[in-house]
Amino acid sequence: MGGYGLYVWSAYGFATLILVLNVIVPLRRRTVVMRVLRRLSQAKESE
Amino acid sequence: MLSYAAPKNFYPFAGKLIPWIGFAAVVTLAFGLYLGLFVAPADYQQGQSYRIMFIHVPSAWMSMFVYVVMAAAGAASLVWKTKLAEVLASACAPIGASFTLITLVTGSLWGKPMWGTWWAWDARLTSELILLFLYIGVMALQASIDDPRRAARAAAVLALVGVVNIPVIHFSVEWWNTLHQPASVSKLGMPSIHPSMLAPLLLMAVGFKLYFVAMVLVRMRYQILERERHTQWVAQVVESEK
Amino acid sequence: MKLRHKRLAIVVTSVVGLTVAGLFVLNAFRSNLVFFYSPTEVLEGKAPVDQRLRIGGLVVKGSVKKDGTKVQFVVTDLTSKVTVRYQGILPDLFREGQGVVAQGRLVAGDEFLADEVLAKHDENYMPPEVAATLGHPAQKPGGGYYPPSASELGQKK
Repeated sequence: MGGYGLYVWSAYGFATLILVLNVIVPLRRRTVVMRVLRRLSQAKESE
Repeated sequence: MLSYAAPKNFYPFAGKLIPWIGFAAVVTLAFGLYLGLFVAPADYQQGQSYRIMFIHVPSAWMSMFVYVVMAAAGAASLVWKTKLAEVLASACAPIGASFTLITLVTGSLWGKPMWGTWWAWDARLTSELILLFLYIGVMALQASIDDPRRAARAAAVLALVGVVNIPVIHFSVEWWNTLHQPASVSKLGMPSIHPSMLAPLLLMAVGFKLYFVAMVLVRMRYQILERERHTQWVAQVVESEK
Repeated sequence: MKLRHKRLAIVVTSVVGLTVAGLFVLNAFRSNLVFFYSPTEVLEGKAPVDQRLRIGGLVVKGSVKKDGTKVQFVVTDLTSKVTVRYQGILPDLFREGQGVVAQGRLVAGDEFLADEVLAKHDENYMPPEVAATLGHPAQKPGGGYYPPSASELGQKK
């Protein structure tokens, strides 16, 4: 990278990190929401 | 007629779209990265360092584009009180903030070797930083108010006020003296960028847009479930997705 | 911590944080709306006197004199010229004929003592071979160096 490797790869690395986090976080959040909703529906059934 | 604006219909519809858009995003970004990192030649002045442009410029475009979408959704939610618009606005904020952060950090990593400084308080850089604060403000408002409708209203007002910053960012390099160079691509006629470098730039821009659409749909879907949790259709969805 | 307390803490910290950050940024913004002055503005006394300022323009070809880490060069907006003296590391893009922004203060009438030199670049990107076929970058038609783009000279469109 003509002496600029550190700058270029840091930039690509940082962007990748943020973009991947932005996939993982909502997918995990979705799992949590589903779990809570399932508990909610089970609570309703057992009433 | 089936209304896609009704959360009940939107939910499965978005669920079907996400894998396709996500796949298209991955393919486009992979192709863009390949062209940008391995095929595009070095720049006559900046050598290899200019390759940071392939993430910096598309994410800068996205940081403004997502903000406009968020503000428009906010305006729609204020006018028509549609739940879907409220959910869209709130789903936009973290993604837009991420693109703004990427823009600032990659710009800094480009500025150090080329300009000789990580940061300068010129009009372009400062207005982009203000954009990040606006996103954080919108997210803080959404997180701090219990009632989702009131939270959406407050966030929409802030987002709409902040819209003035968007033309400031875009035209800052023309209105004032800045360290940052003016736009290469928005000029009418020939962009002042060689086609071999323009191709990866535009591919990355399209890839980021697709990524945004996929991720905003993922966020909207679970927010809809949360907000509609007492309805019959959500109970059915939960039952069927066990 | 109770949920409500946690939420209150989020609100208070974000409001205070954003206000402080906003004020700080707006202050920096106001004093930097004019990020740099052109040599003509400086010589005509349009730039603030007796305080640190930035001067921007093109590095005159053949004007760069290096002596160890000491550098001296002439900055021009094609109307006026100011001699800049500087000691330190120059950015990679510092070239004769390229845009530059120097921060420091005016010592004599047209002599500028810089403590920081930043390179500006223009909006043109191309492979070296293409630049070569267009002639030396300095003679590249339609923007670039000579004639320089308005932004490099600090002129508004």
